[in-house]
Amino acid sequence: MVSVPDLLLDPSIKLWVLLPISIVMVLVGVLRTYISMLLEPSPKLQDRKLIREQQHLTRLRNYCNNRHVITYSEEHTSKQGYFVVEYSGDKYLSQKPSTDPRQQPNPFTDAGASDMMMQTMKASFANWVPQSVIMWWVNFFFKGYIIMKLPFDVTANFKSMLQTSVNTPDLDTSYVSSVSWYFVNLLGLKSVYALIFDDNDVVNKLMAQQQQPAIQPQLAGAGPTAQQMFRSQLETLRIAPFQSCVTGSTDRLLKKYANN
Amino acid sequence: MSLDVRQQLLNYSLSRRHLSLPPEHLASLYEVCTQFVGSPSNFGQLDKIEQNSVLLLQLQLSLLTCHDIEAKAILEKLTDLVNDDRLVSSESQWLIYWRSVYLQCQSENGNIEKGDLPTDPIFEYLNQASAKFIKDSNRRIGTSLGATGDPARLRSPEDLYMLKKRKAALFSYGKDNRKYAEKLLELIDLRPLDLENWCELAEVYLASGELEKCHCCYLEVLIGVPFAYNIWARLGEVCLLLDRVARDGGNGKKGSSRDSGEQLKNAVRHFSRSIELCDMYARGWSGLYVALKRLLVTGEKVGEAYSQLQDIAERKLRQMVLEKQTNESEITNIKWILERET
Repeated sequence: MVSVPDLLLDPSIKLWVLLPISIVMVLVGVLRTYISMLLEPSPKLQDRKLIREQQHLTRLRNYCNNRHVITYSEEHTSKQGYFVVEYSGDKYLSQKPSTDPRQQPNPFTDAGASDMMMQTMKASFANWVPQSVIMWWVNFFFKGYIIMKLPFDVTANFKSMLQTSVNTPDLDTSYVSSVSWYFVNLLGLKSVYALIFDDNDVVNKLMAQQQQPAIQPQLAGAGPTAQQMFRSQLETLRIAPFQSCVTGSTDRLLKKYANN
Repeated sequence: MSLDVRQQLLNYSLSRRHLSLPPEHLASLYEVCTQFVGSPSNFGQLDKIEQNSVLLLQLQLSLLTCHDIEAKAILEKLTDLVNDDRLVSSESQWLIYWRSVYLQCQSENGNIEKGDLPTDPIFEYLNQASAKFIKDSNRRIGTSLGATGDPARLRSPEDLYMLKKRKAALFSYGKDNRKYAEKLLELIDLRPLDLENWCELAEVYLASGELEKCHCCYLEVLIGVPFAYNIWARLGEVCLLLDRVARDGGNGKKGSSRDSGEQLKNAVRHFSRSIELCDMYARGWSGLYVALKRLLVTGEKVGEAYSQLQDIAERKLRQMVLEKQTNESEITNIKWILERET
């Protein structure tokens, strides 16, 4: 008995539907990569006040962590006093705190945050606009097309993945619809891009861009202020016990070498 | 083999070990580096960042070995590389910095015998280049989408930390240490985590005999990097000097607030810590030996442990000399210390 396939696919579908979708997907991927490269921000000069604030905060944190390098307790006490006097005021803050403690900073006046938002928006546009356009193109021209049959059997669980926009519940799962082919291409072209770009970084960036939504920046006023962080570090410093690491260094050395 | 050369050159570039090599080693390293860069099969295979590192190494080596014409060509290559790849923006601080170094080497050529470096042309170049850089940068910010009319985003030459540091370094050629220290303190106020500044300031204070301040600066370095064994040993050496000042009565200067014996004990502790962190550090062992020797000679009441430790230090130093565990210059120094202190 000769086995007859459920559906007979016109060979010109391969030429006029399957191939164009695949080629357009690859080309758009390449184009999107170059567009996002163009949209990448050029390195900007950082604000010296902000760097100064962050570095002094880290210096204070470093002292809290590494205070054991000081030899004498009185040295530690005087250093503690110095830090409390120096960092309690607003000398090292990049922005002077507002006189009204209840006043929250306006997130839309923060230059850094709006830059980041603009950047995120541009990246999203570069990602979503081509995707939407191709999706529309595939749906408009090829909606409901069965374009290929997989050379192996797959379980019925794959039906929703492989036969999107084809409303035939009894059709064998190994038939693939045009819209599904678009999705398969969207997620599975990594090795093709790797061949084209010859640079793993670009490929990984491209795939990450396609699959993940961009991270939203933290808005101003959302976290603790620098002044609060200075205060909290100073509190930690005030209650931190002191023990020098050099106190027993001679004995430790002697113990190590006495038997050699 | 060529992979090894590549790795070696990148290691030099990363560790900056070439800056303290003797002249004959520098010359051979320069030859190796030039050959490597000249071979497209080796140099062409590196990525942009690695090419940048190797070219920078070649530039430094050519300046150190007085290949001025080659240095100029390498600088042009670096400019092309940086501009080409947008590694940093086309007018980068980094390029201005290296051009000023090249300019300095040119100025030194005629004036090195006089012991005086004319820094004015370098300052002039740095000021002009920074002003142009900032102008370009502000123009870009001003014309960018969403940034127009926001003065908070505009930058000034004060924001160019790398060039500010370079200008401060030029003060080291002057005779006024105080001015240099002031400039370093300004840098420290801007970036307290740049430990290079703290080390340099410590050395300036050391040169002007302000040992307590020098001690404080080195402590700041240790707060940043508590396992820096060389800084622990340096701190020990400062303690030895503080002891000398305390014993001499400071020659009219105010020396240390602690007495001589205490400073020596401190030195011993610091050298011990240094050795604890790196037991092959010859400078640590030498310092420990000298500090213990002086402490035992002063008749200070110390335990048996100190004399045991001195024997251990002496044994270790002799072993280093005998087995040539360190480089030639260190071995000569150790021999000198052993002879002098015996």
